[in-house]
Amino acid sequence: MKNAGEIYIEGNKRQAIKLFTILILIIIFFILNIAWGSVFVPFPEIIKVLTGSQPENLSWGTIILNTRLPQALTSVLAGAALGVCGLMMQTLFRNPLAGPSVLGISSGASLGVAVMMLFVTFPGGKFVVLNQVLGNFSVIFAAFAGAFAVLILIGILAGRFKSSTIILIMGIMIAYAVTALVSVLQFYSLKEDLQAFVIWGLGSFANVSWKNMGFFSIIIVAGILLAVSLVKPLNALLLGENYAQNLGISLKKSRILIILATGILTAAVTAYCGPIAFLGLAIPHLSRNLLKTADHLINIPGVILTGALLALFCNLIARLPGFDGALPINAITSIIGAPAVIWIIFKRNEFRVQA
Amino acid sequence: MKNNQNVLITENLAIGYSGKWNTKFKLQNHLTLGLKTGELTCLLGPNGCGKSTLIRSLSGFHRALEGSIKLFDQPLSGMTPAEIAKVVSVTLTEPVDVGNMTVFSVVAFGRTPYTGFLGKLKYQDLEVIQRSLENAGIGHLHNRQFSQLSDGEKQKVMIAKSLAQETPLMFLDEPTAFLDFPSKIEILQLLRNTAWDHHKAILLTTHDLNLALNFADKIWLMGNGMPVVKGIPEDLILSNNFGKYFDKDSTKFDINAGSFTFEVKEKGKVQVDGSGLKYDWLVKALRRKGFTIANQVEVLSQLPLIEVSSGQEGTFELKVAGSVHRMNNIQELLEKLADLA
Repeated sequence: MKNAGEIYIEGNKRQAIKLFTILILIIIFFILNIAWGSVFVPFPEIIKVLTGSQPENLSWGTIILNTRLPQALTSVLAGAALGVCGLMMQTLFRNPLAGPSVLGISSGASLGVAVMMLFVTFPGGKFVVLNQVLGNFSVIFAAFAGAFAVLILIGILAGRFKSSTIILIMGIMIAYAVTALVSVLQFYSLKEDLQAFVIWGLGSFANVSWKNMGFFSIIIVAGILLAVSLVKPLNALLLGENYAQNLGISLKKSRILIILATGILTAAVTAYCGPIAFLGLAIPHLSRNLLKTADHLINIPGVILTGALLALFCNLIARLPGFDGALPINAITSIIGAPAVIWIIFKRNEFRVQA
Repeated sequence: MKNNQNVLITENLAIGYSGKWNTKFKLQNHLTLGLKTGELTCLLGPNGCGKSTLIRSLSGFHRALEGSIKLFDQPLSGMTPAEIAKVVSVTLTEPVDVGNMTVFSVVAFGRTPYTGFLGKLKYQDLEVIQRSLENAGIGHLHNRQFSQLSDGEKQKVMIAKSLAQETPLMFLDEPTAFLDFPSKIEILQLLRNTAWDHHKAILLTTHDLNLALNFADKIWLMGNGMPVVKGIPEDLILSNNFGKYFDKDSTKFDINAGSFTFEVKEKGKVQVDGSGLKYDWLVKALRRKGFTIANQVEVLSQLPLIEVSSGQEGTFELKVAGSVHRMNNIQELLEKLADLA
């Protein structure tokens, strides 16, 4: 007869095996992302490119190294970041519908980008090619400024109100107001600028060039590390705020740090990839359901891995050879994410009407 | 830790809420209270008198409006949440919805004040959790999903969580509410044994007066606009404090029975002759129906006379207006009395 502690440790081992399986799937999908696209590149040539030798066709090298590889990397980073954000928001607000977009943080980033794209003229001239736009550090900076303006507002509210539900409602209201501001800006902007902004708004993992990859990945890794450091308060918050406090958690500090980590990650992803819909909401549900636990020590790696996998999968679908070019990632994430969440809810007995 | 040690002392404590412009809504004033290890204290009082607020103030959720709370001679207001977490554990009325979690993992939350940065459980932690599960009598449930348990089992899990927290003080806000009667008893027995055998000072709020009288070592009575009265149950009964705190027009505290009686419409007076268990329950039934029992049995009286005999058949003999009726059970007797009236 095994005691409870041993069974608990065994459960942890099983979860580690599951996480490892997802990691292998990520590697497979990463390779598929590099191998698959509108231009066919034979597999041995891909290996050649990746190992640094000269491929038969020089453009294959450019496609793989400068387009597909950074795109796959961006998918991994953005997916992981959105998953972590969604998990933290759902725990903090004790609401399964919470996600990185609910607090108005991504709307704030949109506002920053809108102001920059639509109204500030740069010495370099108009932005038509999106890559150029994002190459410009000021747009990224604007996204961060917008996101953090909202974040600070939320932070002030978080300190003044006891209940997280109130903060959630305030966040949703701020999101509405900021979104409305963005549409006012759009109304008064030039046609070409508007087009660039709308394309940014459709979302894409293809806009992070190698030049920006360093900065992008550093921010994402920093945000995720901050989230990992919050495992303990996040777990305690599962019991509710009063119980968490009684377990020695400083509510105010934890709440501000959780919102800060979410803000950093959401701002970075929104700035570089556009406001990505749905992934943040769907990933935590997938992870929790797969790992059969609410423990954040397991679920943070869980959402990082399932997030990366789901983003790679969505990116792959968006670039399937049948489609000319690439579909907007936002369309794919919602088409895949929504049924996934419905399926999860359908599978769980406790939510269903008892016949 | 030994029994009978002072753990918590309040001096001149005022509890309540502070509103806008520094206004204060005091629920209770001048509270001088103490909790000792090895004692189960029950806090009784009508709704809205400040029971939950007191528990919340003592556990550091609410700031006290006035006065001081000291845990082991240390002022509560100067302690960090992490320090309080090792002295006080709470079980609240708010429902716990943790989603996908086993009982073991929920009890493991109790180790939060002791674990490191990532909250990883060490071997000692696993042992403490195991022991807490067993002490709470739910060792067999460890691998069950928390959400699938009954209310009584969930309450035991939260108590096990408090035990795993290894605090000398345990506060429980209405731990027996919403439970069926046997579960209420089980919970109170568990808490009393915990207080006595594991040297804890336990404070709980409850509306189950009869259970509190049977299980509490100390009782605190709280009322709206009345000072808190403390003491052991029997002393409080003798000083007629229960009556003062709970009497309403329709309820009266019966000092002999140690329980409440409820007002019922007067139906008349009867005489009862006999003794033993059947006699006792007949008197109870008659009182419940609104009959007053005459003090002395007089054969010549005009009042109906019920004689209780010990035989199997015709146990109850009703003599009224010259005629005699024999009945086998109390129901028949009560129906007869209703017919005659």
